[in-house]
Amino acid sequence: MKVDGKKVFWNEYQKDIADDQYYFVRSCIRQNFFPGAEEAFIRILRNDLGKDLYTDPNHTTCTGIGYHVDLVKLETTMTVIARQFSLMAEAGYHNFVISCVTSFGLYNEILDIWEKHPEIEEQVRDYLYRSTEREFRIPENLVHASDIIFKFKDQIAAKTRYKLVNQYTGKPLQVVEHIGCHYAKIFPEKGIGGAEHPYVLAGLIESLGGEVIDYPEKRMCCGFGFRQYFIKASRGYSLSCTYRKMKSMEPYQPDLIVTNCPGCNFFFDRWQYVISETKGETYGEEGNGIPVLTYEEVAALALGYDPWHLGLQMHQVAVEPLLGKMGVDYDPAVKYIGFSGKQLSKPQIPDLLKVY
Amino acid sequence: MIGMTDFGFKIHKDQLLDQDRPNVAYKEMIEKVPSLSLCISCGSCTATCNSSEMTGMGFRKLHLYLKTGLYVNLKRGLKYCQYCGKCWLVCPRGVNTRKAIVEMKRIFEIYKT
Repeated sequence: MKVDGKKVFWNEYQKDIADDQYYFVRSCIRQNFFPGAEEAFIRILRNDLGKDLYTDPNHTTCTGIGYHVDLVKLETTMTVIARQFSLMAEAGYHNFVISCVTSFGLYNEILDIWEKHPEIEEQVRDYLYRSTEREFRIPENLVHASDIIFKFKDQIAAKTRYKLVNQYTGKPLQVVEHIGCHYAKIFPEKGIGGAEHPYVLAGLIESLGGEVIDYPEKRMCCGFGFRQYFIKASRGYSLSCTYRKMKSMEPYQPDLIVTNCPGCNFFFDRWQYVISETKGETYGEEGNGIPVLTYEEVAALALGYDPWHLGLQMHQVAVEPLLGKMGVDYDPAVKYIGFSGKQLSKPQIPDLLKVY
Repeated sequence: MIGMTDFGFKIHKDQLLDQDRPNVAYKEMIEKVPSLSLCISCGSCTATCNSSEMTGMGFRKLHLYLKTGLYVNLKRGLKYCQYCGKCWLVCPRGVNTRKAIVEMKRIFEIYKT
């Protein structure tokens, strides 16, 4: 392919990301399982980048999980999302930032429906008005939170205290980047780099000094798959899918997995424990797992945030080996001490997977 | 103990279809029933099949078994066909499904002429 042609082709997979004034909607899963990740995103944007980010206590779930398991009707989902847009307008913002990849896919899906079928949008306006007496405006810019971190990756990299470089060997850390399926597989033009070669996380990793691993099952699903996981009888499919991913990346000896999707983060992390208990296999060095972090957690670690303030003790796979490689200055003794200064209860130690 | 934790679900083997599996019978079938190559696996045949609801075997599945060389499953499934021909009537690509079943039975010596 000619270079000029390649540039034109690649332009299809670039997107406009607003500079400032963001209205932020949170993720149901992340708030519960990795609450430090969203907090890190807010702190990075406000404190390190000096941006205006509004977090609204009135917004609700997007209903994504209910929608994908056929519990919530599409009309209900559309009306709920219309309400979120209405809240954004009420707060005086135009740029919508979404924390969750499932939500991001769903918002784009609904905007696409409204664009192709204006009569449905009118109907939803009516539903919203009749149920809440609200009106809504479609955001001027709608992006995923990882897009924002990607946009400011160089500014973040310029401020970092630590790099994704192994301090023992001086070589870049080997990083697996995993993009949530709903980020760009539904609408490739909505994701940076498209669906086949997404660059949203790879760009951040490279800016921070790490090296991205290209492995055979790179683009495969993490295994979450709503119907697979939520129905217990099908949960083996979810586990088998993650197992296949882990076996595929294992020979490349990754130091870290970075994801931009709440579900992927959760399943790569928790399933490593389940695989260790059922198969007796671990994928890190000396019985450790491969730490799984979100893009904000990686950025925040590099910026010098305290790992325990980031909530990294909430991850199943221990992050200490990674902290050691990055040379992060941390106190292991305060891992399970909460913000109040009280000792939190410690997790049970698994048989095989190492937890410190 | 490792391996003793029962989560109520477990890792299963890959169920990916191996496209490289030798399928000599499929080549023979295409010569005898050329319309079979038009199949788009829409599943209309199975949806209308009398016996699929009771047996779980429809023409689409039989065709898939044939293409991928899963002959043991195919032979097991072939015996459920009642030759009613509804699959042929509904096929949007005009695949002669009934003839295909007869020929498959001949190949696997379930039906001898």
